[in-house]
Amino acid sequence: MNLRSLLLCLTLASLAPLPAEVNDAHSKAMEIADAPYKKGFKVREDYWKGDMKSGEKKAVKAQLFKGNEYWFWLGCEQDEAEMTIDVFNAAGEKISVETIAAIGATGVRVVPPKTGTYTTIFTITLKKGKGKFNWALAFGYR
Amino acid sequence: MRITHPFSLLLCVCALQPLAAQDKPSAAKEGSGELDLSKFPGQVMEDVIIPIPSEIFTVLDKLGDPDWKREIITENLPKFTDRADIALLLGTVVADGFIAVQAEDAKNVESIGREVLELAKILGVKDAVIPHCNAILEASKKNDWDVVRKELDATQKTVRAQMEKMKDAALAECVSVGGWLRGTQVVTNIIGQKFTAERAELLNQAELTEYFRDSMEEAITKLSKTDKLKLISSGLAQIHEIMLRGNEALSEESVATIQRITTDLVNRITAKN
Repeated sequence: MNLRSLLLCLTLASLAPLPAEVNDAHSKAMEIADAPYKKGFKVREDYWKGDMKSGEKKAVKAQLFKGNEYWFWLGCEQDEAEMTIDVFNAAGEKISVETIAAIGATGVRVVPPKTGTYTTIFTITLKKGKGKFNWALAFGYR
Repeated sequence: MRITHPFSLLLCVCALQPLAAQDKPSAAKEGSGELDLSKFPGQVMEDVIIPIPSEIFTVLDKLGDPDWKREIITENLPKFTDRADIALLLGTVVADGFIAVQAEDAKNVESIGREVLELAKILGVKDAVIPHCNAILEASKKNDWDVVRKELDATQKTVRAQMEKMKDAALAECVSVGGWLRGTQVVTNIIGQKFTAERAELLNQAELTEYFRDSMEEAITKLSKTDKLKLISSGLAQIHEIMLRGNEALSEESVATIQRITTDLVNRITAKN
């Protein structure tokens, strides 16, 4: 390959569109959100994400408003995983009213008894394999 | 909603189960009735997702029939050059978009879409925001309010993400604070017009105001022009105190004070320098 061809290749490579960032964990959370979405839940565009080790616990805090109901949807890039998710009030009482589960995803519905800050706590335990994996936690309201 | 997961056909809802209401997590303080996350045996995520105005507006709609049209402001935007000024202003404009959606005012939604684009251009994030603005303009023509609401949410998320990519996290917080102040100004207006304790409860946002105040204090240390940020930080501190003192039952007077503070701050953000 001469210099001219090499430059042409490099130029074309730089013009090629980059693949969009795909977050498989978020996609799974969105899959499980589909049924509530069809029932009128508005899905927030923002979501929490990160990586974790099997069995690790994570907590996120969220401002919720009395009068709304909420779904939190947790997705994991691994299919073979046991997942738990619950929402607690400031007194540490569980306020979860319903859970939903699918392959690599789980969700919890809450109806906040008061307006205020609530804590969602979740764990993901892999049935096979070790190492870190990605997770995403989305939510919606109506 | 966009579904991208390739295994959609494999997905099945396999459990729907009611839960016991009184289970406690391992970080609950024994006998104290408090969730103590400092003892949480895991990671507490620091990322905070700011509520969008629609989350509160939805509740207000359920509690009555607010006159959203009355809350719309139609003034020409001031011309700023300072990036923090523009970021704060952008937050208020996005919040105005949510108000226009509640009022189902397509003409205003369209002009807000254009204003968002103009401000995004000055902030150097125009390309990322164009698809959202186009979607807003398209959806408002069809009166598809759910799509407009979703795209306004996405706009705010995209601007924040772009600012963070550009190492401008302080400006990203300015967008959120501007939006929250304008949203809270409108919420307190509506609560004040027909005060009930149930409506006032929507203002129990003490932790959120503390977070905003901390983020403004941090922005003051990072940005060069800080007069406006100092005013906002001080206003947020006052609102935080009122919310804490209210102990989950804010009085009519407290709501009026929050309304006055947020109106002053929004006027400051939107005033021509």
